[in-house]
Amino acid sequence: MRFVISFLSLFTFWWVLSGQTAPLLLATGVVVCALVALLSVQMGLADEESQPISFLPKMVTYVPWLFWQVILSNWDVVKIVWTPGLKIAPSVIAMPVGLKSGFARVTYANSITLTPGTVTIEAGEETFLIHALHEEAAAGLESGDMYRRVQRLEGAV
Amino acid sequence: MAWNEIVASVMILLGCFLALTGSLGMLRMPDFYTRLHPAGKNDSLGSVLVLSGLAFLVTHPVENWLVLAKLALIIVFLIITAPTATHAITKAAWLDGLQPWQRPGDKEGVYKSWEREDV
Repeated sequence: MRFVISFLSLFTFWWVLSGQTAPLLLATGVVVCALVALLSVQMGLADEESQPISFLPKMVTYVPWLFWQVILSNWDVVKIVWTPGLKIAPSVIAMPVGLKSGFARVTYANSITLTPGTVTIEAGEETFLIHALHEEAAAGLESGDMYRRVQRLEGAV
Repeated sequence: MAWNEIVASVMILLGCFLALTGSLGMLRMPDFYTRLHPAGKNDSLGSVLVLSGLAFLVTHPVENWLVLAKLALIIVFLIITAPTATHAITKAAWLDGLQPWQRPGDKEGVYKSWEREDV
């Protein structure tokens, strides 16, 4: 299973980048991709962490939502940058996080960085340290909307 | 002008505006941590907009979808790497002991924490 996924993703990636159609080159690609996939499975590189398959179906709804948040966040920063007086009041927040898998924690940390006025300073096992640009940003995080969505991604809720 | 050129122009212009905003934000913000906000957010959406705009200009009849797939891949990797890179330099500064700027007279202080009930 892991081998098949590694092989298919490698081969697709290579083919999209190279766009080869000659049979000889395609066959070479197949052989090399199979070899690399076999090696990575043998070396234990292809595990749940590098192939978060169980998360993929749920990402379908999470990613568009996140993209909308990115647009909102950009509008927010654009407003701050272009208004005179620089209306910011930075704060550093320590926030307990109970996500079990590494994938969910990374997703959450990156989502925080992408969304309105907040940047993850440290993503620990149990606590995230977050730099917030202003009060609303901190409050938005505090409401826990994104946290619940990432939890749902993990399948905890 | 064809419709796709108009859409592409609008998206590329928006992307350029966001990049400009990111640079201006870098100059205006008071310290390292606050500068990361315009740098990390506006630049990533700016590049995504420019790349999406370019996707509308792809009209080659044969290699069309290959180019589109490449543009899409660049967008995906940017979306993943941009916040990761931002986090990496933030953490480096934090571990080095750099203190965040706070507005003079802010009595509450920069550091806040709260307890969650649902964790």
